[in-house]
Amino acid sequence: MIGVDELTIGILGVVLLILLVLVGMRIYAAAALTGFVGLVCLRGWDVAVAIVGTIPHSKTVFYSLSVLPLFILIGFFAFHAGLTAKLFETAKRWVGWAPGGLAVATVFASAGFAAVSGASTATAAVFSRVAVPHMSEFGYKPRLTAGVIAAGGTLASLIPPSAILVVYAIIVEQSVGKLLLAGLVPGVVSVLIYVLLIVTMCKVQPSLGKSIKGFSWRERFESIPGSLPIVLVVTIIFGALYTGTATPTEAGAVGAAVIFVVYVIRALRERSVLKYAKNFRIALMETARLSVMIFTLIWGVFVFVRFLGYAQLPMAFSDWIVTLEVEPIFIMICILLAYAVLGMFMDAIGMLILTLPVVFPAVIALGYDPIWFGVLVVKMAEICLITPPIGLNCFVVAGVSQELTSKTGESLAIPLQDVFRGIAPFFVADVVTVAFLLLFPDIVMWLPNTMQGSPA
Amino acid sequence: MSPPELVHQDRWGRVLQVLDSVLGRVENATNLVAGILVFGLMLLGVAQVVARNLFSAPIFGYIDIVEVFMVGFTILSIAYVQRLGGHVRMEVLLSALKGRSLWLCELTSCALTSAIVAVLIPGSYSHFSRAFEFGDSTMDVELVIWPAKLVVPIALALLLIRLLLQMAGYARMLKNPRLPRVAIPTTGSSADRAKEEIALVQDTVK
Amino acid sequence: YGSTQEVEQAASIVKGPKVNWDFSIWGAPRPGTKTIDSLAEHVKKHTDGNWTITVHYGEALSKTRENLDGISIGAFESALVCNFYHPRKNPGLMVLSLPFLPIESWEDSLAVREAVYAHDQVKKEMKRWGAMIYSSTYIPSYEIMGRGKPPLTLEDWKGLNVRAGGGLGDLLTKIGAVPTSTTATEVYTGIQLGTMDAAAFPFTYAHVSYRLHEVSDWYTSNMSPGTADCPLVFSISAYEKLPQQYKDLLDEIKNSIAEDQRIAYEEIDRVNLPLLKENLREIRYTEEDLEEFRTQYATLVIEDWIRKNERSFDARGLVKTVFSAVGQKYP
Ligand code: NA
Ligand code: NA
Repeated sequence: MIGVDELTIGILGVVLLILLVLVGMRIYAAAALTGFVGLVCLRGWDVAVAIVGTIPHSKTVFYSLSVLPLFILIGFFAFHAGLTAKLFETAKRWVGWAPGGLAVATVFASAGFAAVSGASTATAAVFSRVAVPHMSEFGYKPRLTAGVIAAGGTLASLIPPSAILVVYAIIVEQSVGKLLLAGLVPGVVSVLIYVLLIVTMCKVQPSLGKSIKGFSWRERFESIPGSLPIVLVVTIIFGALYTGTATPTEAGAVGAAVIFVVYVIRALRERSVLKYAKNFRIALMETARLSVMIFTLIWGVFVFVRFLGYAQLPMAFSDWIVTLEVEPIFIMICILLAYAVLGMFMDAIGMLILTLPVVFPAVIALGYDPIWFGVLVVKMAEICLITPPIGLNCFVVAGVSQELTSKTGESLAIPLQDVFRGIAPFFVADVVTVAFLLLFPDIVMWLPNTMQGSPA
Repeated sequence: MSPPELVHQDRWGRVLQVLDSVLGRVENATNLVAGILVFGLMLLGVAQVVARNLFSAPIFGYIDIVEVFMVGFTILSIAYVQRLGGHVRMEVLLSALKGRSLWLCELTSCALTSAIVAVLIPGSYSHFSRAFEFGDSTMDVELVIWPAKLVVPIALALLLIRLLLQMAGYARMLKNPRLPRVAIPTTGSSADRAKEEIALVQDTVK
Repeated sequence: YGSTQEVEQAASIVKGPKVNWDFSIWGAPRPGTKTIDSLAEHVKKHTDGNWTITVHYGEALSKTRENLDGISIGAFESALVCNFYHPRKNPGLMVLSLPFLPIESWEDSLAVREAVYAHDQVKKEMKRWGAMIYSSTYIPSYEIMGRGKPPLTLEDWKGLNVRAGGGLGDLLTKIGAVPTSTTATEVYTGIQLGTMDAAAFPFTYAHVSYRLHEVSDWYTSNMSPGTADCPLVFSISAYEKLPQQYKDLLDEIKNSIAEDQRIAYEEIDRVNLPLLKENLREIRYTEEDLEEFRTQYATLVIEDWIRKNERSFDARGLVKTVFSAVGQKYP
């Protein structure tokens, strides 16, 4: 039968793709090449050439995807505007009194920055620079310092705006706004679990890091205006998403514009327009680079997905999964573990775009909620940023610390193995968070379900 | 560092270096255009929100405009990203390789990439030419789409040139692994990527 | 036309080679796609499974707006195409999006669409894409549903933000409304929050499937300001390759497919109409109002359209074709 042949070709295609990706071919090219070869088998050379030629344009050029570069832009503007140091200062004055106060402040400041930035690694890099010298000055153990910064960075992808949640929403055709909102509460839960962890650790072993006391209320309130732009942007983005008064793209545009104004004001105040003009150009260049990287990945993988569509493989796979005589939760845990392993070796967005076309229909066939699954998968991908062997956030923290010196000129370098050791408790905390999300799906679903315009 | 006499004899390397820098300028320009378009998207979005909420007069065709122009930041600077080694890949195997075996692997994957890009160029050109000859437009304000579709084969052609240059660069390394690297990206290991992230922040946060 | 059963008996003996067609369409199965499922079922049944049409939903084979491209390059043999998604891909077919065409019954709808498909311009523009129209999905007339103060007279439309495009958008502009463009899925929130006042959709099924009635206060029920057209198109070369008996089969089953579609719309209306009547205010315009609408405004829009297209094809001829299909004369 023809059907069997097509399915076989589909499976061979998947195998070929895995091989090419393993040997280090760029994923967009590996996916497009495999998809093309498969289409040639199914439809002949000429038709295959014509089909793949339509995809780079038709799979990237639609309105809802235009939110991506704006979310990226907000993050770059925010750190070029120097909002991070101010956030850290505010957090320090308000929560420094807690056991491990500076570590707690780092978590809160990271969460705040996460609300204007969708890039995990950038967040880790920025806070390494801001928090490492501070924490070292107050005698914090380097391991705790490194762990909290690397872990805090991962919050950027859960707390909106998040590029990776947008990508997920687009691939599986879910509401972008809903997914972004769905990330919020799990993000906050992660923050609370991190804080709980730090406080407990520092209570048990006070030498890890002490509390920073003695800020008056006046000093506390004085620190707030510096962080206000972020509060404003958070309000705008959440307000727009929650009430639906603006599309995510429009919310991203207004958010970016607000931070841009802060940036311009800072440039004028410091009277170093040239430096700021240069940084503005860098921000645009970097935004474009990241956008093109993500969009390329999207169309590359969609060439492959088009081939799968002809081979009808995703349907066959989900039909097969459903016939398995095991509990859905068991399959779900297997899928999450597979992501954990894959994520050790692969970039989070790449991993999602590559696997979702096959995995997602199966997950839906098992009866799971697409929004909930999205948040869970993104959390898994974030955990991979802090696990060896390729925990990018850990590399970043270790790398930044190499260049830092204390006031007395001593090196503040934190060796990579210390970073990995320091991250271990946070990794455990993340596993607990995932278990929470698995057991109590309402943590994810509550907010998007109360959103305006969602079905009763 | 390689011995000076090697550099002296390395005519191939010098030619590559010149080509690399010429193409690099074009790529930088495309990426800056892409960045400016993102900034334009921001301004347009703000204008739309203001026009709709304050004056109750939304920009008719706003979505159409975004969809026509966004090709500028979805694909235009794809060659720029390829030059920087910025396209995602899995480095497990590559990071274990050294010397000739590494360069052979890179050369092969670059050749395969060139092959698929070479196929995509005529394909996307025919997608453009259909829109040009038979007609195509956006939904609401009937903007013509063919210029946007034409951007795709152009960007891919630039990418192909970049890939051929990188192949030459890898072939040169394969011939003599002791030469300094020319016209090829850093291996893109996690350590390298961490360095890039750090370099970005360096200037700004003190 | 004959009953479904007669057709079945006559066609049940069609023998022929194995043929597999792919059909490209977006979204999930819905009342408006009954024609397609019905076609696939009929074809399979009457050829004893020798000819299958695999319907690929959810843009699996092509983006919504690129289905004509897909036909053109041989990516699939058949697809659904909506004229308003890409006006310049099918300029002639846009005639069916003009306001106040003389379509008052299901029979009118059949006759008008068939006449348009038979027109040289429409055939020619489809042929450019290597495509031919097989059948319409007979999209029902549009009506407008909205929130806030109901537009009881034509005057009341001034300043209302309405989601509508094409000829209908132009018409609304003429009476002072402001057409807005948004994706269909955003209309619900838009109306709920007041970023738009009303939206025009095929009545009743689209309004209800986007759940507009949950956030609206009123709807028009006899305005019928226009429609749209989403025909099933075939690849000409794929059609040419069919054996004669399969081509004949397509002709034979065409009526019963249309009948299946009519029943699907009726069934959904039977559920929706009472629901709307009960919860929303129904606005019915008087004959005089509608007449004013037609003579004063609709003609303006139609004339604009003719003027815009006259140079590239016989636009006036197309409009005349529409009117003469139901025995009327375009002024
Ligand atoms: Na974020
Ligand atoms: Na990892």
